[in-house]
Amino acid sequence: MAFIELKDVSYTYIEGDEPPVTALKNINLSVEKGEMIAIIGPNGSGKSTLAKLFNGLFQPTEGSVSVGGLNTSDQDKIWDIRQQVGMVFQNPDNQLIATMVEEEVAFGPENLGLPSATIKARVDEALALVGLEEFRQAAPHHLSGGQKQRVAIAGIFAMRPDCIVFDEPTAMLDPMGRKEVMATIQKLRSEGKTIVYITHFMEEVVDCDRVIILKEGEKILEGTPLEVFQARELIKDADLELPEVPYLVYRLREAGLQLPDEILTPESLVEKLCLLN
Amino acid sequence: MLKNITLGQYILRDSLIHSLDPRMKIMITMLIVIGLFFIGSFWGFLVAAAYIFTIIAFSHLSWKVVIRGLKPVMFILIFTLVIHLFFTRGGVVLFELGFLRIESEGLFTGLFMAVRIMLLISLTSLLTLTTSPIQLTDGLEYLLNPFRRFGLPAHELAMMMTIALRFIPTLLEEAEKIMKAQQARGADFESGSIFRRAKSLVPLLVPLFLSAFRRADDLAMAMEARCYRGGEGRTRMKELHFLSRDWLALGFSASFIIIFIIL
Ligand SMILES: Nc1ncnc2c1ncn2[C@@H]1O[C@H](COP(=O)(O)OP(=O)(O)OP(=O)(O)O)[C@@H](O)[C@H]1O
Ligand SMILES: [Mg+2]
Repeated sequence: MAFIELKDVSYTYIEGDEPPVTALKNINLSVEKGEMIAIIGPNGSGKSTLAKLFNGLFQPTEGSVSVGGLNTSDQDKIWDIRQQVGMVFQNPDNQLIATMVEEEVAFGPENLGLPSATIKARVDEALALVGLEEFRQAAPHHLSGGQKQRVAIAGIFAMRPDCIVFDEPTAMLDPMGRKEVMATIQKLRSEGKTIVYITHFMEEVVDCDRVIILKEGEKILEGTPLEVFQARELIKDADLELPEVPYLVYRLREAGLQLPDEILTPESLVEKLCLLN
Repeated sequence: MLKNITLGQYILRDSLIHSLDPRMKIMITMLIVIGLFFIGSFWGFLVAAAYIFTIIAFSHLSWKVVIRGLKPVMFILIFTLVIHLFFTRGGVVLFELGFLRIESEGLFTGLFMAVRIMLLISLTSLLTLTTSPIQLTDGLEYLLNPFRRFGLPAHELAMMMTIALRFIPTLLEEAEKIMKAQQARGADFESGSIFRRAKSLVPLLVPLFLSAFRRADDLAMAMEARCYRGGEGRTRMKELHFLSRDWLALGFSASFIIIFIIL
């Protein structure tokens, strides 16, 4: 059994007198330990809703979600599940609670009821991982967007989760901050963390193990980045765009150049183009 | 920029007073405040003033900073003095001109009252000058914790204070942004009558409130995702422990209180 499993999951928002909104329909999905999967889709396709199902913040209207064999509807185990599956949200300002960086990182472990010495050790370790040791006494509102997001990541890392779900963590950042955050995520990946990466930038899925495309609450495509980039029609249907390199390769092949499919980076494109002569 | 405001008036120094346990500082402040109300003589006030100057010296702060803290209450000080001067009767007549009459009792009560307020304000601002808002919050949470069994939500109060401290700069920054955006479209926040100016704030406050509610929603979600479930079973990274210097400070302060009450 996979680490996270969604079986026939649907989710409907019901709020007061407003008509119900079905945000997710019949989603089947599994995430293996150590994998990095990307979930991509246009605005309103249900990405954030899906993210909140992974750690029991939302309960599916239909179907079931399990994490490490535990069902997220099991209220006795909900805190174990949330410890195992951490979550980093889009807006860096709205997920930091404390007035000092080190207190912020300690917040999660404090909630787990760990002894003070353990928390200190974990905070040191987490701040080292994201490279913000010298900011431990700083106030979060004095940090840049990218730094705030790294503090949020450190706060999750200090809880020792197996899996971290990122819900568009770079959407509100400048290119510099985006780079910092992406580098930090790669670091987590090399630490063996399972990563669910939600985005609507196609370029960011290039080096994931698996990509899932959502459209209007349905999973319309699943596969490796290479496989997904071949399905140009579906990608266009979902209002998404091919990343630059695969798009260039596609156009070059249309123009008659004999290029192979598996080109994802500018370097490999250069290499393959040089081989042509 | 609004973003760079410092909340409270904490001034970071490496001093004995700064390093005391916030709980002890709060308790001592309370004791001294109560003590101040029992002072009945000139010598008592002198000793109390000496106590405050000793603390200022130990906290490596300039006395000017403490005096500056008195400015906002200047009016109250003068008002108290004047009221007592002219309306408190008793003792010998010191001055008489038409219906104005100052008697010695009035002069003394007025001066005592004014000095008492001055000492009180200096003392409490010394507390906030030497204790960061975070430490104050932590200290209050610990001190209020025993009252939980009477239904006082100590942890929740402290958490609310923390979140307020965390979000005030963020919301100020946002207010500034909205204001600039509205000004760019011709909104005028600076001229006209008070009524007009208050009215022009409506288009600022509405979006600000809406966004604050959205932030609150997001924050609640983020806290839950990080296993927050109230104060029950929660531990702290920085535990507070009384050290010998805290007990020393208590002993020192207590002896002063006794002396200035007796005098
Ligand atoms: N609280 C809510 N109440 C009602 N409907 C909602 C609520 N939150 C989201 N929806 C609706 O559910 C659908 C999916 O929303 P969701 O936020 O999951 O999309 P998303 O893919 O994360 O979009 P975005 O890229 O904008 O973050 C949308 O149609 C949205 O309008
Ligand atoms: Mg979203």
